[in-house]
Amino acid sequence: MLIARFKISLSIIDSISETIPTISTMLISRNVTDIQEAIYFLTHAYKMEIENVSATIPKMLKLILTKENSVIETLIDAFTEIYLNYGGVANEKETQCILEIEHLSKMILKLNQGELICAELLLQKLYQTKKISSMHINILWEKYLTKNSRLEDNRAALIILGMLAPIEPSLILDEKNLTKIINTSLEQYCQDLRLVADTCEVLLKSIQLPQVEKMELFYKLPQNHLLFQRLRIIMVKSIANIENKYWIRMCSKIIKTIYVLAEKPDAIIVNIISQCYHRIYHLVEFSFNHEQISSSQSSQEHNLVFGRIDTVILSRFITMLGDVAVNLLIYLDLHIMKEYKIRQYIKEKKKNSQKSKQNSNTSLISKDDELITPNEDSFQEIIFNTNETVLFGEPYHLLIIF
Amino acid sequence: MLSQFTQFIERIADDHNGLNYDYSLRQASCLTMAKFMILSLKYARLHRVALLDILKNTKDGNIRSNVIISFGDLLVRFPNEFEHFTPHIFQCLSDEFYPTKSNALKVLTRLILADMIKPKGNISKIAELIVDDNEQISGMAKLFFVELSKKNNYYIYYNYVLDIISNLCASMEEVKFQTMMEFLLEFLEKNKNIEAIVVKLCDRIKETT
Repeated sequence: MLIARFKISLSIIDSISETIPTISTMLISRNVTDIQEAIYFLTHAYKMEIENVSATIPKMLKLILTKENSVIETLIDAFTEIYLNYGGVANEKETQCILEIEHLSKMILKLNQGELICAELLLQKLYQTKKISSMHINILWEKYLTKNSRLEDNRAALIILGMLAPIEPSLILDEKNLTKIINTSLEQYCQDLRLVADTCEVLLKSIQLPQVEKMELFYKLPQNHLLFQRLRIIMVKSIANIENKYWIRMCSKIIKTIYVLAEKPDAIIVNIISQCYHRIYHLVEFSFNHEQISSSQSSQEHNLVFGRIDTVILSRFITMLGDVAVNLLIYLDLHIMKEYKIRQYIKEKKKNSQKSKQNSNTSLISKDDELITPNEDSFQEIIFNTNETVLFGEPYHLLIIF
Repeated sequence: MLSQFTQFIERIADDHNGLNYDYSLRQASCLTMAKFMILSLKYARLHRVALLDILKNTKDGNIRSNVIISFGDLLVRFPNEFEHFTPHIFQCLSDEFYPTKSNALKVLTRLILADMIKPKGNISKIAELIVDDNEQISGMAKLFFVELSKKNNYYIYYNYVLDIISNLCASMEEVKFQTMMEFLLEFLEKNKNIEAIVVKLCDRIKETT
């Protein structure tokens, strides 16, 4: 009798498993109810640990981009059920939270780039609706800071914290937290360049451009901040490590981070470029000596230097120069321009308040009429000319015009 | 600082067939040169022909597909300076290498739908891809026409359909042509407009005979 029941159970499980691909197609149905039903079904199938459903769960993530609020709500409930109502054996809340975070981390590490973007939006919704609690956040920090745990666990915890950073920047930018991140991810002899790249990405996510009307200030760190020192050291030391396939991604993120976060990014970047250049130059010198070639044959010209070094290192150096060019353009066009607009706005505000004080009894003109629009064109022209100077001007001439 | 390295990068990028420099080096140099062009108008004017030469002459498909993306970005940054390069991007729609073809289609989709460029007669090159053997390319081409038909000005879409018919009816296989036209005509819902197309086609046939 019991065996017969087990057989029936197994056949039911098999039947459910067979339907998963068909149900998955309902996720892209035009009918909202179909989508909701498919989500319910897949959630329950996952809870029942049906074999092939785990691969379908990430496909549900892209539904977060839909305009239908009812679908988004169903999706949030589904992910809360799957990841944040972990039906384990744990009785204590903290142990249950640990299990939930582990479960969530496993999912995050399996996602591709597009799915990660959707997961970020979903996690932000879960955080806003307080389904991700402060206890979860504490556990994420513990996971990230624990040195004995697997590198992948550290990385997953950092990525999740970074996903929440756009709506709660203090999670990352708070002085204590920033120091923790620098000391954990950016150790001087750091070998995990992927973690460095992810750390920079997390830092970038926590930064938002200030709003002119609110007269907000840019979040900037001083040029000699520990963050930039560590980033410079890691970049220069690892450029010759040709085995590591993450260098180019890391380099791109580091340069972006410096341009977004540093007070005088050009000075730091010039320093990095020249140090990388010298490191490459020393490598060539070393190879010359190793081959017992007379040092008198070595020339100062770039061509001869570059002719003898590994092409991977040289490609990295050239890629770095390209990244600098693009980030410089963004910095000038976006950050410097925004700073200019904020300053102009503050000036105009001050002027207007002084005028209104003087004419408080007589003025009938509305304040909006009095506002003088700042002359943006001339400033734009200066930025445009600066861009030209970078590629055709004297070295170290960068931003001197400001 | 960057000015010190420009000549060296240009020389590597100019080695189209990899006679002197390694592939990874050439790829990095082409991309960096394009990034320098985005930064400076003067530099872009000086090297746009060199970038086009890379697109035409290099045998490496990955380098060509990167250059296509660069051209798209340069068109957005300096539209007047790069407008006359669009026919070259359209030519890449018939590239044998999948990433180049796919990137060309993506770039053109983005530029046309954002009204950055006007496809004019070249629209038929995109229409041909509706029946491409590669499903992804065919899907992207279909999506392009779906979005194009949604745009405000219906007459532009009708004129495009006319251009496509007159450009491809003779050169394409009949079965493929029918499949393509079935897809394109789906977006012309109103009967009056279909009638207008028939009238215009008849006029064109009269002109050619």
